[in-house]
Amino acid sequence: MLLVDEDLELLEAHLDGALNAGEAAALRDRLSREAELAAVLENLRTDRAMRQKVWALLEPTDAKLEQFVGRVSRASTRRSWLIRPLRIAAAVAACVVLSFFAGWQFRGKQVAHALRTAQPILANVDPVVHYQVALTDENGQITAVQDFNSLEKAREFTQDLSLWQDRQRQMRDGAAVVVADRF
Amino acid sequence: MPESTEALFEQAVSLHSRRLLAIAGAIVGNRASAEDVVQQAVMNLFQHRERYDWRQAGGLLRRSVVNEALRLLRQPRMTMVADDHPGRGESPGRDMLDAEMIAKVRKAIDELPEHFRAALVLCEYESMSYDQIAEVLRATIPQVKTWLHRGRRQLAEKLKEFADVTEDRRRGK
Repeated sequence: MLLVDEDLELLEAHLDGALNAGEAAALRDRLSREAELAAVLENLRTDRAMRQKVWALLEPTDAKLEQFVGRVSRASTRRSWLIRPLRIAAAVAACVVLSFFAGWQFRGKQVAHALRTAQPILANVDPVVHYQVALTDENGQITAVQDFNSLEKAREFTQDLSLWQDRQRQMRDGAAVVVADRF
Repeated sequence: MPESTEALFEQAVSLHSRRLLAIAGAIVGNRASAEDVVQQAVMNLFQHRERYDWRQAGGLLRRSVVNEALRLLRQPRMTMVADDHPGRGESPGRDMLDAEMIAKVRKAIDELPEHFRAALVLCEYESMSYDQIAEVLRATIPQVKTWLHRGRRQLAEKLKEFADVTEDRRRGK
């Protein structure tokens, strides 16, 4: 009887423990009837045992194993000690960067606020007695405070001042200003 | 008190290294040092040690070692290392013919394509199932079966001539 490739695969799968119960039973039945198949199985088993022997020889001796485990242990300890300070340094650096960034952002807001508040600030200090209009420079610093007896007057002053500031800004920026419309 | 990850890592390395070194040696042959392969593989895992369960680390370590060995073999330039694995030359009483046969088998295995070698060692030495091997080698089960079958056939071809000579010698021809 001539063995085909499928027979070899079947025998190999049997040795690999990959056959299910039905397939294993069918193979056992064939092996009991086919001497050549049984001989091939025996050869495959011998070949496999030889390979296992070769691989087992690659296992280190106890001394070598101990040496190797020590080597890995030292490497891992070294890495732990190296990584710990690095992590701390990275955390500190991150904090510094974040603080710097936060500071920068805050500073930016102050500048924006100062620009926004380049307008006079109307404040109701005492609703019964008087009203105050605070004048700030471009940095948000209060440069002057004007008192008023009524809210209406304070508002009027604020509007006039705003108008004047707009004109000043236009002149400074070189924008065209309509001076007359008599065509 | 629960053990630290570092302590569990060391225990796992200590427990599995013998087999891992043999697997690495079987895959890389003398193209690289098995110790370097295993060390690199375990240190790769150590870097992210908090992610893994070191109480059941056998599969993880095996997978890492196989991947590292195959990665090394894919590198274009390999340096041959001294062929000094333990066991060789340590049994003066061993039958000469047996030793010769082992050397031949080892050479034949070394000449196989790397995936055939890896599949064979995981199947026959580590007794892993086809699906486990497929997972480790990132292949399909039919691929694994093909690699195993072809690997065995190529080995049989390579060793056939030597086996015939050996048989003749045994018979005193």
